[in-house]
Amino acid sequence: MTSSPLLPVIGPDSIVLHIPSRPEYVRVVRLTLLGIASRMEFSFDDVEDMKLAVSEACNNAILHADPELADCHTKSGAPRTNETEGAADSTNGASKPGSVMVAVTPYDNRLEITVVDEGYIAPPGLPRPGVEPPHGTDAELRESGLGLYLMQSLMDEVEHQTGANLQTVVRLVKYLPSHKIQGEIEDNNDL
Amino acid sequence: LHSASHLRDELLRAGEAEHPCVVVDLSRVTFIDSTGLGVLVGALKRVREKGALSLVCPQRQVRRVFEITGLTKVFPMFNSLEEAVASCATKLPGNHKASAAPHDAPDSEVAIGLQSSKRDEVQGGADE
Repeated sequence: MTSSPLLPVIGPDSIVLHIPSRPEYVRVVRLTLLGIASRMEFSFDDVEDMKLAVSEACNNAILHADPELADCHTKSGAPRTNETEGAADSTNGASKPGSVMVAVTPYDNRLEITVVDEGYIAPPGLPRPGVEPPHGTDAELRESGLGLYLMQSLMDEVEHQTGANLQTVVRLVKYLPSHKIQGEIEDNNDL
Repeated sequence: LHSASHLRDELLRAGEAEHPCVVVDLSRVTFIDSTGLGVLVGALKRVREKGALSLVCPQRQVRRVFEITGLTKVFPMFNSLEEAVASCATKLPGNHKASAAPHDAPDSEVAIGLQSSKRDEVQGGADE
């Protein structure tokens, strides 16, 4: 990963959504993405893959910003404490539920999606969702942590970066079928 | 995250039987993400010690998510409710097949159908 900050690229062709940081709005992002991707030469499967990947990115963004949801998601069962409330309040005036920004930018050869959350305010000790391997054996069955794995499986490029302000930016790229090889060559040149 | 909690509650209730035979019907589910998968994995872990859990999953897009995550290896998956119920009943531990019979233990066989329009997505952000 590069050391330069990962910034959302917003150009004249970008469609930018700000959704409330609540699960019921992720569907709006999926529908918007469907509308944009359908106008490009993506296959049905590619569009479905992108819908799932962007949902995972949005879910993570929402979970990062809401300790209660994160508790529920990880099933830690830990009750929300006053310290948690304090942490939330001290972050940025904590305009709960906050918002998640999603920028979708079509290019000639690819579609780029950037998801930016409002920063991590969950209590200390609660792990951020990270890269997890798929379910290998029965004994390793996990109930959470599949999100980033799915994004990496479904998209051609995935970058994520958490800044000093604990704001996380996730960038997802899918190349058009006719440009997939070109995209891979560009990737290799970057290395 | 939205509809997942409803599903989790239903599955918790379904798994309370002595030898639960839980069939989750995903035939009208059009979208599932890692949250939905997590809820199902949690239910499987709770249920499998004393009972069985099967999925009805005829939708290609939904099944694909299970394939990508390797979960087709751990969930018995079927195209029809009948097949799933039959498989589930035969898998009950200790030949407790009879417990799936309604007259014996009426609450031990629970088929959860996600069939209302509100439940056509099991996911982090939900409909309605």
